[in-house]
Amino acid sequence: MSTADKKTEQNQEEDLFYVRPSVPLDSSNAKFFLSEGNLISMDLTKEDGTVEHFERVIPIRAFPITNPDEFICIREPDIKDKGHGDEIGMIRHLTDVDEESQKLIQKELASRYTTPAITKINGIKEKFGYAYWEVETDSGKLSFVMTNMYRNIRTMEDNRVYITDIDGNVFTIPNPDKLDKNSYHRIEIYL
Amino acid sequence: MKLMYDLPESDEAAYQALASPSEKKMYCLPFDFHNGQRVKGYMLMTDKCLYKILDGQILASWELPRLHAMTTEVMYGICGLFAKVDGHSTLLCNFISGRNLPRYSLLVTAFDRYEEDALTDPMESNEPERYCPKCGRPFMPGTQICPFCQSKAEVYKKLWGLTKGLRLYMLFPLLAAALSVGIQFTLPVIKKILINDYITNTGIVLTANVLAHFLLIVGLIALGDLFSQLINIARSRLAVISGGRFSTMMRTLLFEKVQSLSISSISKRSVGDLMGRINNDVSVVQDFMVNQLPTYFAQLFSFFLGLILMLWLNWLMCLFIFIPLPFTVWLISRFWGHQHRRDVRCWILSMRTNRNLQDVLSGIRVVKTYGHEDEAIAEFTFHTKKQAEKDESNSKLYNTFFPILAFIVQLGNYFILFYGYNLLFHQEMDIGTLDQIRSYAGIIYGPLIWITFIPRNISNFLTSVSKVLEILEEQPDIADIDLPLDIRIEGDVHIDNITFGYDSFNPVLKKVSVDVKHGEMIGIVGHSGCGKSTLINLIMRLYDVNEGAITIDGVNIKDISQNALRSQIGVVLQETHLFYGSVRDNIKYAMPNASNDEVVAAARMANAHDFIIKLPQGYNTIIGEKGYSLSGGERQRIAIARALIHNPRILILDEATAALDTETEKMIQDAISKVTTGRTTFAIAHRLSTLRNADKLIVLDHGRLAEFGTHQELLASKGIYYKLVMAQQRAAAIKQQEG
Repeated sequence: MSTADKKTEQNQEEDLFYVRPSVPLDSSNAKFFLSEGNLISMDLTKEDGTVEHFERVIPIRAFPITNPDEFICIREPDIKDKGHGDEIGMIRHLTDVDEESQKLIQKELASRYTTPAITKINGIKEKFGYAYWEVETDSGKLSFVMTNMYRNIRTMEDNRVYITDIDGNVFTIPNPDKLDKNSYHRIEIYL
Repeated sequence: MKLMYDLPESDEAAYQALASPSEKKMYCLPFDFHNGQRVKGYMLMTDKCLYKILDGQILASWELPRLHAMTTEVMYGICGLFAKVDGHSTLLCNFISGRNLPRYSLLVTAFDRYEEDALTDPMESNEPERYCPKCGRPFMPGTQICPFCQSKAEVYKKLWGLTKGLRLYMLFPLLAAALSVGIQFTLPVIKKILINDYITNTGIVLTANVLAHFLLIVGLIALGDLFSQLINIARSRLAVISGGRFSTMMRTLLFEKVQSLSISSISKRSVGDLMGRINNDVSVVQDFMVNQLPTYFAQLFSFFLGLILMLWLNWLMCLFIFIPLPFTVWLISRFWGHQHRRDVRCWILSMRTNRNLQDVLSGIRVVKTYGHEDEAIAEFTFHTKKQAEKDESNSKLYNTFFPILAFIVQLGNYFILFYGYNLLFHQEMDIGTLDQIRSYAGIIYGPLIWITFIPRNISNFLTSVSKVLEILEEQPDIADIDLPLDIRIEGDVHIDNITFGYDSFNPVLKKVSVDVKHGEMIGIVGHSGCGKSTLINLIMRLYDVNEGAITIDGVNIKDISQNALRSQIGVVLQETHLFYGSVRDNIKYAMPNASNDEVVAAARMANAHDFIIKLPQGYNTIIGEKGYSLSGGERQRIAIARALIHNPRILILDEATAALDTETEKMIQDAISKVTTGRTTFAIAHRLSTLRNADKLIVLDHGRLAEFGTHQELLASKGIYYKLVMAQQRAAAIKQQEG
């Protein structure tokens, strides 16, 4: 086998094991802008000065509950043929990028993380071991069904309550003490 | 699963206004999130266009050729449907996770097919719908039962059908209950005579006649008491008999049914769920049928009997008893409502304590190795303390209010007394009658305190009945054809263009075709999740293929009887489950009438004989759960012996050598090369070295057949197999360097 052959072989192998290294992102190397399809595009300036363009990137929170504005991963979307999208980099704190980019990312995050905040509980009806909830939230009136109340209602350290319904949707009560008396009475026993 | 929702009128009108007359609706799915608000909109896909319709307006429409690479993306609490519109990634719509994701995944598949060739007829989904079509609420998980919409009459009717042969046993407790109520009501009548004639009658002269009468009365009372006790004994004994028979029958029926169902219907449910249905739900049904039902019947009976009797005795007094009844019932339900909330709270806290306990105890090694004992103690103390506090206050409250409630409930008695003595005073009533009425009042008020539990008990009962019935009524989805063939298998396996997915919208294998001659050893390789295990599941016919066919010796496996098929296939899985019993019993599992000669021969072939003979009781050693503990390699070799005992024509090895050390692997390797000769073998192996004897290799990639050929051929073609081999050699080299 000639050395050239060996080299291409090695390259092939490198290809196989190549994992994109995740880089710290800030205003110096990352620029985000609105894409043609109303999503986020990104230009990444690499160490050697070349610019890599991404048609679409996805922001993901590493600590969605405790640190929503920090540790934002920027990833390529998952594509069916390729499988999982690679991570491009991580923004340590949202203020590390320019204001324009911040706004874009905030907006995208807000639309990706939907936890309707419950403002009023109109009724919890228990039947056959299932609880049928009627609530008002910041995204409108809605109803959901849950089971295993003791497991699916979680209180976080900051008193925030997370409720997971039978479909895996998550609702939150930012501060149960601020609910009106009737609503509070309805969930009191589960807290 | 529903894929064509009906558009509301205004939406339909908007669509009609825009669409061309020849357009054909293909799929119409709801989307429920738009601009941060929950909405009720629809995505309508026709053969030309994709429309987004909300509240009578077409928000957007895309001609299908403009769309590419459609995908669904699961975000947090919400999902999105994305596609490239004219090459730009675009969000088409948002929808709420659980409810609609399978629907949209199917839409994506449909769109992919449209892109591949042409759009054909709308695809159908055989997924079970998870939401009640009537009210939109979710079915109970894993069932098709909507607790709101199920017809109670139908459940009762089906239950009635199940009680065949037990009805006499069930009737008796009811009769006994009625009889014992009758005696309950007769006793006060006799007591009345006793009081009026003997206790309050001071002018009585003792004659032989009077004495006889007196003795008769006392005797009757004693007899009545005795008789009612006898009835109770008979009733309890019969309840035990009918209850036992009923639950045995139901459990046997359920278990037979579970055994007859295919893997795919069983794996829809968890083991815990099935165990729960066979054990708990049957118990709930049994308890209701033989214990609660007669009790309710007796209570209802005595309520009306008491009402009639008292109206007849003294209607005014009757009012004193019945008028406060609504108030009493209200009070009782308030009390239990409050108590229930407190009980739930206690229950939740005790569950948390349990969870903490289980967590820490099962992870005790971790706790100890990290030196976290103090934290664990603190956490546990916190939980138990909280639980104890709540329990204490709960019990205190209960023990205070329950007696008060019991007192309030029988307040009516004082009115009776007051009014009764008034009547007595004016000699309008005798003491005997007053005592009779007081006794009746006691009988009626007694069960009142538990009355609010009846609806809850009934609803629990109905839920359990529905869950039991659901299993009993399930149709086996893999069934033999009418006249299945019992063929003697040679071992030519022909896989013809098969497509299969556990969910129809998500195919795991796509258009796979392979031809295998008898006696060949076939290795199956590929990344995890590429469909290797699925392929062998299909060869064993644990599932039926969606498209294409698998034939053995030219016969479609759907036409071979499942019994004949499986009795000629031997299987060794990575997870070797050995049943509780001796080594011999476990090896004989596939052929219960095997002789000891055959058992030893199979064990020798599997390289298991040597270690079995060293066990304290040889082949009679008890293994399995809680039995003699064997190492992974030893268990594996017993499993191989088990697969070989009936001399199968086709042998399937699913990761049989993973998780074993090299030396044991060598032993098993030897065993495998011995046993595969003359048998068609399919072997999945993570370590490619295991497959070095394979005649041919199947390489799967994302459900497609990527490569098929001999080891040499595949290495030469430098495809996926080559990369896998290189990767493993590299890993092995690193290991060696480290060593």
